[in-house]
Amino acid sequence: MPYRRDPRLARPAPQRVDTVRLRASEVPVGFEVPAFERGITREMARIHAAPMQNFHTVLEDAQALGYPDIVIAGPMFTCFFAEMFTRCFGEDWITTGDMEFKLVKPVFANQTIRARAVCAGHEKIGERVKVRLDIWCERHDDGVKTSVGSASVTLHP
Amino acid sequence: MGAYADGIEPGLDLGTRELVITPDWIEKYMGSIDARNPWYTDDSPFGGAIAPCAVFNYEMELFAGWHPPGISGRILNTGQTWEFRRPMRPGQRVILKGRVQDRYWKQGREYISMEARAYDEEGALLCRTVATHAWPAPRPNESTP
Repeated sequence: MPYRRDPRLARPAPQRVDTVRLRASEVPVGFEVPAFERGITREMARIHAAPMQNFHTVLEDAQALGYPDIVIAGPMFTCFFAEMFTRCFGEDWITTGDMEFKLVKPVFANQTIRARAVCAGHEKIGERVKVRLDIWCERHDDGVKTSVGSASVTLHP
Repeated sequence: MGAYADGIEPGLDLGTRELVITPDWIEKYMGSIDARNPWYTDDSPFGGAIAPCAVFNYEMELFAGWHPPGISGRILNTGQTWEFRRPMRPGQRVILKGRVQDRYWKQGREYISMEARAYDEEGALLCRTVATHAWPAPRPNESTP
């Protein structure tokens, strides 16, 4: 299935690789933060959950519980979101970033997952602006959401 | 006596741990999501390298004593909350404090949420997380206090 654009998107997401520090005026409602996407290999799963030996790291343990492959531990998606926001909001994310998300579908090794975020609103906080975002992770192959939540970061105007 | 025979009550102190942010922690983070960032290895706007803000994404859950016995293999990680407040640096000593935040039953599952905070040596908050785990469980007997 082709990449599905969120209908709320106001404009195409810029493709950035380097860490930047956007201002609130550069993040209008509907703005999509450049996505963070990775094909999650078994090796990445093992590195992430090491030194534990369980269904997050050992294929046989996962299969014994009825899973098709290693089950990716939920905190990995903390990393997906945190890295996406660090690259977009820089220092402001490190010092004011908040997020919460629910894990709604299991993710297995060898799936490609894309973390995404869309600006949902602004709130003035003194001289600065708190930017609220809807966040989610989705499977690359079919767009099914695997985690859903919200985030905020306080930016210069 | 509390509401739970296993003693895992909201407010239960899970103790304190100390960690030092070594280059291995940073490599583990970068390797686990296949993402290198020069902020973590060379320099950042904070002056020098910093650790990824989520460098302890898994470690902060690893307090003992917030899972009842006999549920391993049935635990579902249902959600995460994070607050990031200060940069962490390679070589920095970090103090982690954990506590049980909440415990409840909902729709055939029992839930426990655990809060962990990371502080620097001066006691300033670096980051905070709440992890919620659930497992299939019958509805608790409401006549039991």
